[in-house]
Amino acid sequence: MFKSILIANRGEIACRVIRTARSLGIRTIAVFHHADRKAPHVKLADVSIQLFAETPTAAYLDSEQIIKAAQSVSAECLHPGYGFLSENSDFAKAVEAAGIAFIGPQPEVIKLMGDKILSREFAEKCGVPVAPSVTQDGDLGSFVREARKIGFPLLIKAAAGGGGKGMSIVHDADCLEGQAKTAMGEAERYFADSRIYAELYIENPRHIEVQVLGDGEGNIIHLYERECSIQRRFQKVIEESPAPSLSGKLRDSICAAAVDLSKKANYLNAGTVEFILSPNDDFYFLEMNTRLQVEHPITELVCSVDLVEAQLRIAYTRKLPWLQKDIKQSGHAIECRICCEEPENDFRPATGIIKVLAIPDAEDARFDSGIEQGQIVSAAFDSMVGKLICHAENRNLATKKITKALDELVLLGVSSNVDYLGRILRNANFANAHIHTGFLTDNEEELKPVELTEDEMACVLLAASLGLKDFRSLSFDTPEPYASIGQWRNL
Amino acid sequence: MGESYKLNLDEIKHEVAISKCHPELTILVDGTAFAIEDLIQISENHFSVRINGQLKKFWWAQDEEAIHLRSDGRTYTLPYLDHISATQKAATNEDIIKANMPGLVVSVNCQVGSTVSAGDVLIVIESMKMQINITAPRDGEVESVYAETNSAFQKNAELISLKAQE
Repeated sequence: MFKSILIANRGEIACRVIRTARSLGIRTIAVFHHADRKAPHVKLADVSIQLFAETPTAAYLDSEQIIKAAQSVSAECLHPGYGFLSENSDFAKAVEAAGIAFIGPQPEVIKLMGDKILSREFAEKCGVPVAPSVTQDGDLGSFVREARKIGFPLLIKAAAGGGGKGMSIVHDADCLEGQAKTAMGEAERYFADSRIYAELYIENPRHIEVQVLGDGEGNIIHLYERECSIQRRFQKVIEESPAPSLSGKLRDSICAAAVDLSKKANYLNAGTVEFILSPNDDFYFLEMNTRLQVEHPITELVCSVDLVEAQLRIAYTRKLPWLQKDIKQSGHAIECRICCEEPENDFRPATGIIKVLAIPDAEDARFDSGIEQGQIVSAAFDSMVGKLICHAENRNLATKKITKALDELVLLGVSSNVDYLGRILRNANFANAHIHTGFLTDNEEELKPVELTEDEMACVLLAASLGLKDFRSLSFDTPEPYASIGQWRNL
Repeated sequence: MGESYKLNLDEIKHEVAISKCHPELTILVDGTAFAIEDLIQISENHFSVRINGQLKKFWWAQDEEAIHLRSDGRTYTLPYLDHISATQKAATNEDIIKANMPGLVVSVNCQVGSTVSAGDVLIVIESMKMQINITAPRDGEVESVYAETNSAFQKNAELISLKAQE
């Protein structure tokens, strides 16, 4: 096994990778920007190297500095986590060129899958279903004509896009040209690549993805599917595995399509093939993510595996650690993404200091995070600060378990979506698995907090007061005569 | 005299006052009496208490802006009175549009002299990887544009101002 690893990331995923690497006896090296000097991933690692850049994000995107850091401590391999440089093929190439093993697929596969248009064409060639679409790579007029032929609603996306940027839904022909222009502008601004494409928008679709592992020699296994349909602003909020109410036949077809695609790409290491599932059970290729996903823990709990360990073993031995028949789905797992944001304010990101952080018992729930009490949550990074994950015998029990764990999770000082997640889990439509990617918008009213009764309100006000030291001393420490003659009325 | 604690919950002002400490602690919330027993500080920020005989556990913290509370799986923020009044004052002054958080200007959709209607997107900003539309709080005419495309700004920075209304 590798003797040392550099983790080119921060936050919860850096902590997650360090945890497994340590358990395997691998020396861990963290990188950090000044803003993160007290962050948990820095404390957890055996060695930490500071990166210098004008902004914190720029530091974690500075491939040259990161590779130099890895060389300076003779790191044998590098784990990119997710986000930042994880899907940058030039970075993967440069890491390998520096004689450091990159924990991920081949650079050319990262490049292929990173281009939405090329990856779609590749999927089509592999016989994997794709939604009817048209690409714009020159003449806007012909793009608009071709797009009209597909019909409406249409979904416009940036070719180089991701994370919901440059995406919009077009409902009628009159708006098509205008929205296409806007999308091209956004695509140019975010990805320096103005190419866009339009595809038939599937109404009320589900997002189903398949975890795969490959050895780079054409051997692929899958670790079943994850349902990631609960989304806000095209970003996942709650994920679960297995996907509820999916027939065995459909599950097998989707997993087989993911394996086919990965096999033809000679896929190496861990990856995820994402699909859109229509209400009448047609599924279409969406994209392939060539890295570890945020939601990987639900697969780990359901399949009883450690995916980071699998990634390291594959990178070291170029062999798959398991055969397909070794992988069994057992029970049900649910993950909630804990974000510092204001759900009642259009999910506006929130910043501040975490005054209290109390996490549920590890026996009941897994909490993967990169935060601790006293830490500053700044606008410099993504608003997701941690993930709560529970596993139980079935969906109903897993929902109950994670609802209880969420109730026990305390994050005070910065607004978060903890209460909102609890309301989703208690929603009847969620319980009945009536879920699709528009779930949160469709159930917006039901997901608002219930108004407090007068008694509940009084309890909140009493608790708020009793927490104040001054109030407590007036209530308990003051001898009666003093209390009655002080500024407090004795009614 | 007769001063009591005033607290804000969901933008409504409430009054909490100690009625008597003996033989048992009685506290008035908006005039209604509650018997308080067995207050225990479990840890620095964790308490349990019996209110009218019912056991309640809660987590408590405070910062410069508010008291933060979590109880029965719900989180509450009770902003201080002076803080509330400050933000309320800021909200009534709709002439200057300020940034609620640091970020980057993605696009400016208006210019000096533009006539705008309430709800129009004046500029688009990005913060924490999210795009946020900054809209006009009222109808009016743009007086100054401080925001520049691709430029960064700090929390509370002035982005746009509207001509004051007569």
